[in-house]
Amino acid sequence: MKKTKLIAKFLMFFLLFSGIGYAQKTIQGTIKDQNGNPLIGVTVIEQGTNNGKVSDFDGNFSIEVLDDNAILGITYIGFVGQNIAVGSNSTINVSLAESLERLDEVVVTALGFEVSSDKLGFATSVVSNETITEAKETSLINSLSGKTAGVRISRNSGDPGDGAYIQVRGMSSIERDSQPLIVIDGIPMSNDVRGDSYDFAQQSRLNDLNPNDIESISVLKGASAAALWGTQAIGGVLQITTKSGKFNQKMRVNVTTTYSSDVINVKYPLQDTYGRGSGGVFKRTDRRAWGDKISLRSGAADAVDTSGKYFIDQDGVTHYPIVTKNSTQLYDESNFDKVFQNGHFLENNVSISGGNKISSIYFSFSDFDQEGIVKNSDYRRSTVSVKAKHKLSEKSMLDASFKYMKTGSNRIRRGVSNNGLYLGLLRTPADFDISGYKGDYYSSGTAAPITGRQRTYRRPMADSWSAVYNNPLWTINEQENQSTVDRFIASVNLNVKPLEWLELIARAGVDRFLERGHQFYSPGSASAFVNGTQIKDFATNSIINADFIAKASKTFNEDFSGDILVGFNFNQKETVVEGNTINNFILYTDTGDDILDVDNASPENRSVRSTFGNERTVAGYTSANFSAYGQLFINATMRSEWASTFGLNSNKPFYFPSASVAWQFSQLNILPEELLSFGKLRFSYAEVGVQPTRYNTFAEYVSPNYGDSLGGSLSTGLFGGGGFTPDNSLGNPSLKPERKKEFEIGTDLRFLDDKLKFSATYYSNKISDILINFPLAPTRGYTQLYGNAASMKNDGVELELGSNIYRDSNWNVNMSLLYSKNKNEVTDLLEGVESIRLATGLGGVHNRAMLGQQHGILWGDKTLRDASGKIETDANGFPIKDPIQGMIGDPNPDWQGSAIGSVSYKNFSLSVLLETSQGGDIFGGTKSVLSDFGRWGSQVNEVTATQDLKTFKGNTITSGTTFRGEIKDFGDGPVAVNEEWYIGLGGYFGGGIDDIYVEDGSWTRLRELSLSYNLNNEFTKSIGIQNALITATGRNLLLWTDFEGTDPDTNVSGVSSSRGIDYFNNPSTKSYVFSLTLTF
Amino acid sequence: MKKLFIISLISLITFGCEKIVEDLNQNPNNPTSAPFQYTLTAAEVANTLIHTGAPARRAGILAGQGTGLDRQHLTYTAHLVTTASFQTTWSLTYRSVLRNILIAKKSLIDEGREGIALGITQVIQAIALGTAASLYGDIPFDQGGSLEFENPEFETQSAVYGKVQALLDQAITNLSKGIGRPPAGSDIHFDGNPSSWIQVANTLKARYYMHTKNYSLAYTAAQSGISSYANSLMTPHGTATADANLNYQFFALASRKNDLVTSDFFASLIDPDNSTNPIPANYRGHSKTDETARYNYLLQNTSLGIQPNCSKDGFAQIDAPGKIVTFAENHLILAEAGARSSFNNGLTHLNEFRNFMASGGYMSNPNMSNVKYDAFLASDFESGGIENSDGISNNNALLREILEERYISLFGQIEVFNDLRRTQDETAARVPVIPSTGSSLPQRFMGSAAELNSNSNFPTTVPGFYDRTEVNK
Repeated sequence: MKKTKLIAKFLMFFLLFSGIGYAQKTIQGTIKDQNGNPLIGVTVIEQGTNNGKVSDFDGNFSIEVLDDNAILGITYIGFVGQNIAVGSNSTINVSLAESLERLDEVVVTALGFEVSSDKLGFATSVVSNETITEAKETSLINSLSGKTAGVRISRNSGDPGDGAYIQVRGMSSIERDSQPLIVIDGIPMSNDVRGDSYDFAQQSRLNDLNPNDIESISVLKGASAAALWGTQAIGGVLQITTKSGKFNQKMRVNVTTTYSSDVINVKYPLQDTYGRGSGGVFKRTDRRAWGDKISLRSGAADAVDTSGKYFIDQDGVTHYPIVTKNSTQLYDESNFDKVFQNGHFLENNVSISGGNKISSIYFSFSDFDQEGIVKNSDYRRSTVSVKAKHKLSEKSMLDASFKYMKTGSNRIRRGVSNNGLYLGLLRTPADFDISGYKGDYYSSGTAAPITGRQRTYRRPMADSWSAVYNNPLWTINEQENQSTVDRFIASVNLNVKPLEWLELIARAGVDRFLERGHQFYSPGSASAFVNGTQIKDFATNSIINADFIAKASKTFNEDFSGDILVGFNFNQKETVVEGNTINNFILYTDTGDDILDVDNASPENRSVRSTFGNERTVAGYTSANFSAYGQLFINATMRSEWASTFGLNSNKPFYFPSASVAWQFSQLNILPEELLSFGKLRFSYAEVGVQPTRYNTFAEYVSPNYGDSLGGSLSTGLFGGGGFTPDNSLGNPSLKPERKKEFEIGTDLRFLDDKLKFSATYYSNKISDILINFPLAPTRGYTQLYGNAASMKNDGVELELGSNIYRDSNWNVNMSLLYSKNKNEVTDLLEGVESIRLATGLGGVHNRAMLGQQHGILWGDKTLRDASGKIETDANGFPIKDPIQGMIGDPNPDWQGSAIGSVSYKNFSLSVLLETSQGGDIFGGTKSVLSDFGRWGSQVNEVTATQDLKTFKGNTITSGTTFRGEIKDFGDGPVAVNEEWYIGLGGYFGGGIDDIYVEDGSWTRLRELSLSYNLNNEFTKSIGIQNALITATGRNLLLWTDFEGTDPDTNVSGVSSSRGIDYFNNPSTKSYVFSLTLTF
Repeated sequence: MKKLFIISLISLITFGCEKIVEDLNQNPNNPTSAPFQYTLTAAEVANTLIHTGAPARRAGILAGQGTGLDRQHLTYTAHLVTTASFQTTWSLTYRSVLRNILIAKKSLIDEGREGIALGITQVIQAIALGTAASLYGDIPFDQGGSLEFENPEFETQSAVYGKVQALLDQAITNLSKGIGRPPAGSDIHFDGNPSSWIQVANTLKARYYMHTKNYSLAYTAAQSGISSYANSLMTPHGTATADANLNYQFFALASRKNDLVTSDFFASLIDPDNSTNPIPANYRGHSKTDETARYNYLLQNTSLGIQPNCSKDGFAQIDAPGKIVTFAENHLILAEAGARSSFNNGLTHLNEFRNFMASGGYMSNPNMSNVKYDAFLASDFESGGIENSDGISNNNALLREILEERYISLFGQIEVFNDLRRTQDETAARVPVIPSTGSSLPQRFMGSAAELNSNSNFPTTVPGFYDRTEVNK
């Protein structure tokens, strides 16, 4: 095809020369879309010549053609092109139809330019607004799940407003976040997660955005796409383009209302056959459920001792110590229902857009109001957004956008904490009613009441201030964790084209948020909050960013063209946190009182925090593009960067290069176009980096608060004249950036008139000079030294297959499959260091970076095995614990994939998203603890010994005896696995072996199922409604996994790179969502 | 010309950019240095954690004074320990005490300040490393606590004891100079009073001679040791959450208090009430001794069992001083070391100590009607005497009483674990602690997983939990 074109061009050249004497003719016309709106910038070319024009603001064009034989080719991105013979006409009005499929996807590059993805030498994916809003997810990040190969979204729980971790192409750093940089309309925005992620579902700040405002998200996965962001882009870039009004479009109003009903998707299996106690005997304050068989009790009321202490709860019910447990009543269900509810959210979104010849505007307002499945947990997000474009002149355009977002939430404590919800709830034996959780304790009939005591199953009489674990009703009612965020993102962009070949861009923006946190624990709360605690924090975070870009384009001839760009970038980040904590309230104050007085504690029980942080990065960059014969596209970029976070001895600046080549080999026409309609090979190489965290180049002194392991602490500031010592972490003035060097090779193919699309990418990257706090031997006096000390690599494959299976005027059936696989390896740690503990996980089982393994492996106590892998057993035939801890699992999935299908028939459409994650391990910490406590569902099992069996502690269960437990063979003959084993090495506490509870965390889920109906008939139009879209969506409806008890997409460490530990996290949800969109 | 223009443009950008990012990275939230007295204070606070915090609680469990009921504490009672079980003690020693004390010491030496402050740093260094050697066996001494050595070398336990003695001698010399007192308030124990520190240094010498079974040297050193209860090395505590007595913080506040109780064996020695005493036959009281007041001072019954007394006038009262090296220890060294050479000498010192106790001793506001520690007669230790009903030699009977008295008077301190191991072969005289699991007594804190991970000089074979340390072989 290309060849014939060339020949034709050649002929035309002759014709041009020979036809000099011919008369010229002016053709005028207007180009509009189907709705009669003028189209601006449509290309009108006299076929076979270089003669061409573009339509103006009103869609008008005027072109001089040579003669009546001229054919005008009219092309416009996103529309079906037309060829029109001029004939005798002098006026030609054209109406272009929107093309139903955009063949060449438009990608927004790292610098904010729109480029056809067909011309790019690296892999990208674009997620459209429809894809995002169709998901009906509660947050923007979650709506990206399963939509692009190579992007992994890891959630934590179903808590309202919970954040999620975004990982592109595996882990790029050991201790750093390495989530992708978020760039919104050319300005980087914060996706920070602040606060204690262990105890609370913390938010990802990207979720502050209203998903309805987003036009598209270009996912720049590789280093090449991101080289122009240097040390900010190690994890790739999500380039978000927000919606704008269109020029020359009359006002359009869009109203969307969405309602969702949410329920828990998986529940832990709990046993309610045996009651509280141990050794098969009821014990009034026992923490475990190894007691008697509840069904064998008499069923009468419990015998109680009314002679001494008693407790009157919040409902006036009096509780006495139980002497004999007679009741057979079970409370698992009612206890659960007291804490959980059906969650729901209501979202309303209104957007107005429109424009005239020189200006366009987009305005939106949204409100998202959610109540979680845990009572008293909530999240609300309200946003206002406005974006305006104005043509200052023919050659310059100014656009400005402003977004204001406000979020508020209350999130219930969870996870490892004795004040967490599930920890107290799931451990509560089935025969304990949690109803009475707060009240007055009387030590005897004549004693004065002690008010405000917490009653828990561990303290059924509330006869001590120590609740041990919270009653779950206390957790939701007497503890608060509120946060409110006020945020604005503003940006301006001035684009001037002083000359035909020169474009100047000035872009500046600011992202600033203020977060107020308020935690409150009524006196009587478990653990350290027993005397009442109030924690207030006030954080401000701002990012200021500016770019100045000059871009020169040059068309050398019809076969060669290119452009070159130079730019300057300024980026400043600042964080200020002020906070205070008071402990031991003087005046009794609980959550109902709304008194937030910092003076409500004596001075030694008040503490304040104040930190300030600031860093600055500046860079110069250049980018050059070159294209040849319309089929070869070459790009090279270079960035030189200076940043304040490097030390005095660093050799600044640092350079980050990239290069990519795209070759559209299909233009060679080796295969017939009907078969192979498009084919491209691409190759790229690039380097990106990570700069040090701020304030790591100097040695610092701190006033330490020395913790007493498992106990309290001593603050040196309270002794003598106060204490100051060097910080345990050492600074380093000779830091270099962490550097990722990546090459990728890939192909994009389209077959059968684009009915079938296939894209494949292989990438390989090496990350060197990884900045870590590497551990020092304690005898050296310091905990860690910050430095460039490790290396890692990733290899991966991304495949995307899309097909239009069937299409006619009524039907449209599409299907696509995504697959990605990433293999990470820690290739080098500091000499002599085998592994580095990461700041995630539990005290026991935690994540590590270990030499030769993937990042974030699970580490803990192992079963002792001999060289052949056989379990070493003790004298009784039970496993022995290895005295040295080690790797017990790898939570990284082997591969991930998704299948997206859609069927539409007339006005109905149905879409399905299936997602899978295969091969990652997960440590069932909750199961381990509940097994220890005799609460795990399968622990109802009874078995009769067929021979004399040894127990863990060496007791003998004689043949024929029936016992609670099971018979197991660890390799040294059958043994009786009963309570003794579970409260010993077979459980969590008592030094349990952790690897027993490492399981396969693979899952497959029906992520989305959505049915919608488009209503647009004469009637609706007559009442002013252009279109009504009614949608019913099910989210996360089905889950297939071998992991019991909870959705394996859970993480005790919150939004973090390391995963694979389940420990009393709040549950995930599935939802039924209904939505109505009206367009006026 | 054009070239020049480009060069100047590039340098303008380079220097311009450099300027924009300059001088922003010094953390405004923290200072970069502090005078020596602040690191001294911090080291003294950290040392308090070793001797009255988790390490002491763990040693107490291994010595049979505590019983872990659940979670981590249960692993010590069940002997299910790994190298990760003891790393906090190790890190506290080297990072929080030794490194800070070495920094204080270095700045004193750099500034040419001799005398008392320098002596104090040496005493703290000696106690930190002496204790570490007693618990772990071989440890880094010369190369520990400083960044200089990438893989600090381990020295034998006996070599460390030798260096600790030498260090204490130097400390005494420095303390005796009478000059160079640290700034007021910075020494939290004695506010720089040299005579108190000299006494402490001598008691420490005696303590470590006891560890190495050099009883006569111990006796000599103890004679210059702590001469009154007030001169005991203790840490003052307050009533704020983060300066309260660590036993109070643990047993009254922390949630892990549910996991640890005082052992039945320990309680049985001093619980006078037959109805509550778990093993009434163990009770020490008789016609000359009433332990009621001491029981009430040390222990209380809680819903979990018997635990240290956190209420007013209790051993673990919120602001009870944290005991590191006490008058009681010094006097009982005199008694034990004395008894090992002469029965009468030992008896005299024991009776002196009982006399101290009879006046209330280290108890806080005891009910004097419950206090009775009458002097023993030599005949009390003869076969059939009130301290020798089982007919052992009178020397052993006396030694047994002294060791038991140490076991009780040093309750909550690491020394009880050291005593137990030191005397484990003296079957007639030792405190008859039964292993909480199995048949072997624990012999050591097992290394540190963090050290194992990062120090190539860490012994390739980690000594086992039941392997005796050098001095106890």
